[in-house]
Amino acid sequence: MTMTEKRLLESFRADEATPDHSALARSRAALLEHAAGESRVTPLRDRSRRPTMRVALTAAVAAGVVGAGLGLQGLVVGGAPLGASAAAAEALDRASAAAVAAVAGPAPGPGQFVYTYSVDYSGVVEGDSGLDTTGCAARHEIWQPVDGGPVRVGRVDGITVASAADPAATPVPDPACRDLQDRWMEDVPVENLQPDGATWGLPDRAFVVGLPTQPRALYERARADAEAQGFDLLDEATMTQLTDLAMSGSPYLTPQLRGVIFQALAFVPGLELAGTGTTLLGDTGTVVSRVEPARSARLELVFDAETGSVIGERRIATAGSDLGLAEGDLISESASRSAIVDERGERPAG
Amino acid sequence: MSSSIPARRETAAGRATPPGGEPDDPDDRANAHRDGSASDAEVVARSLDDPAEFAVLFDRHAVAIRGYLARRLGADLADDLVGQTFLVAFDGRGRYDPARHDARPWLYGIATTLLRRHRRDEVRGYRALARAGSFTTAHTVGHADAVIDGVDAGVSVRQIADALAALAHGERDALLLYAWGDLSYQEIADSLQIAVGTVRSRLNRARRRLRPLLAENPAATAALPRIEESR
Repeated sequence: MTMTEKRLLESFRADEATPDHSALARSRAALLEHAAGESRVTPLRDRSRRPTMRVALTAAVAAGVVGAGLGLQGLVVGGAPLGASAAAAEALDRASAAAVAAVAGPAPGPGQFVYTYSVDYSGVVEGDSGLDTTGCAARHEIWQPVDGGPVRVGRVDGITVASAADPAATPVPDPACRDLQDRWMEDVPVENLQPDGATWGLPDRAFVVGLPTQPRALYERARADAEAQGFDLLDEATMTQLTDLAMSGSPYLTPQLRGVIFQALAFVPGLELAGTGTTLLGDTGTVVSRVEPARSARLELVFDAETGSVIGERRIATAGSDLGLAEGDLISESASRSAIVDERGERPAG
Repeated sequence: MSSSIPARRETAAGRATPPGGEPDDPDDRANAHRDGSASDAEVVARSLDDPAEFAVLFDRHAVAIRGYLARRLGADLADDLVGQTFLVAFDGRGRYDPARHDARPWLYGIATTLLRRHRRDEVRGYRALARAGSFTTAHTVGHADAVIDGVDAGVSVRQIADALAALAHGERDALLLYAWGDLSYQEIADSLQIAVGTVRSRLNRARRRLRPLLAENPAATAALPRIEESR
C-alpha cells in the first residue's frame, strides 16, 4: 500500500468525518450513565433473540458448585468473579450430570430422526410503525436426520394468538405476522450464519464435532461467535447461543456434550436459581434466571433436571422497560419438545 | 458514582481531549504515559475500579472512531454506532490485554464488528454514489461529482465508491482501517483478529482494485507523494 493510494482514500467522503459534537456528547453521557449502572438510557433492542428467527432462518438457509471445578477464577472483572450464583451453578451441575446419565435413555439410531416441536412467541414486536404488543407466534416442526442429509422444517408459519397461554390457537396465517417474519429473516446478514449454514440453534454434524468439549472453552467459543456476529450484549447473546444449542434437539449432541452445555452456562454472569416453572407447552422444570439491565428484562431458562434437557425460556419485563411495558409483562417465550421418530415427516404418538 | 469525571476540552481542530491534552500522533498517543498521562491500557485498568475513568478513552478516540464509521455508513448510523462501540468496550474492558498500550485497534475492532450488521447499507451507499452520484437515503454524502480534495486530478468520488463496493468485506475492512483508521498492518491484524499476513494479502487485493483509478488519472498520481508504505 502506497501513500498515494492512502491519500486517495483519505479524501473520500472527508465531509462525513466532521464530528457532530452534540451526538458525541449524548454518547458520552450514555456511556457514563451506563458506567454508573443506569442502563435505561441505552435502549438497545433485543438483538440476540428474535423468537421465530431461530428456526426459520436456519431452515431457510440450510434448510455442587461448579465454580471451582470449572475454573471460574479466571473470569474476573474488577476483582469480582463472573458467572452464575452458587445455587444456580449447583442446579446446572445437577442437570449436567443428568444429561450425561441420560445415555440410558432413547438415543436415535441409524436412519432415524430427531423430531422437535417448538413454539416461539413474541409479546412485543418492533414493526415499521413502532412497537406492536398484539403478539406473534410461530410453531415449527423439525426433523433432523441422524445420518446427515437435509433437515426438514414444517409449519414455519407466523400466526397471531390471544396470549402466551394459548399455544394451541388455530394456526391461521396472519399476513402482518408473516411480513414481520420475513423482515426478520432479511434483517440478518448472511455472515451471521455459520459458513456451512449450521447455527447454534440448528447445528449440523461438522458444527457439533468442532465444538469444544470443556465447559469454559465452550462458553468462550459461544461468546466469541456472538462477538463475531456483532451482537451488542455479549452476555445475553452468549447465553442465547448456548441455550439454542441445548434446545436444538440435534442428534449430533452426545450426552456428554449436553452436560457440558449446562456447565458452560454456569459461566454466564448473573445467573440465579429461581425455583420451578412451567413452559409454554406445559412442561415443568427448574428455572434459572438472569437480569438483563440493558433490556430492562429478566431471562428465565427452564430445564428438566431429571433428563438434563432445556425445555423452555421466557423474557419478562422488569421495571423501567424502554419498550413501555409494565414490570412482569411477557416479552417473549419459547418452548420445545423432542422425540425420536423413524421417518421424515412422522410425528410421535401423543 | 462518586468518582470524578474528567472534564473534556475542545481543541482548535474540534477534537475532544482529556485534561492534560492528548497528542494527535498515533505513536505519541500509544506512548502517552511517557509524558505523564496514562496510557490507554492504564485508563482501562483504572476503569475497572472507577468505571467513570472510561470516559477518558471516549474523549481520546471517539471522534476518530466516529469519523471512520461515518465515512463507511454515513453520519446518522455512525452517531449510533460510536456510542455502542464504547458501551461494548466498557462491558468488555475486563478482558482488555494490558500489554496493549494503545486501545485504538481494540476499539476499531469493536466498531468494525458492529458495522458488519450494516454491510448491506454500506455497499448500497457506495453503489448509489457510484451510479447516481448521490445517496437517495438519509446518508447524504455531498457532491457526487466532486473531485477529491487535494488531488484535483480527475479521480471522482464515484470512481472510488465503485471500487469500494466491489471489494470483498474483509478486504474493505482491512483497507479502510488502514486508510481511515490510520492503523498499521499489525494493528489491523489485532483489530480483526487475523494474521498480519492475511492483512497484507487483503490489502494487496484491495490495491489491485484501486490501481486502475490511479492509472487512468496519471495527474493524480503525480500530484501525490511517492512514498512507499513500509509498515
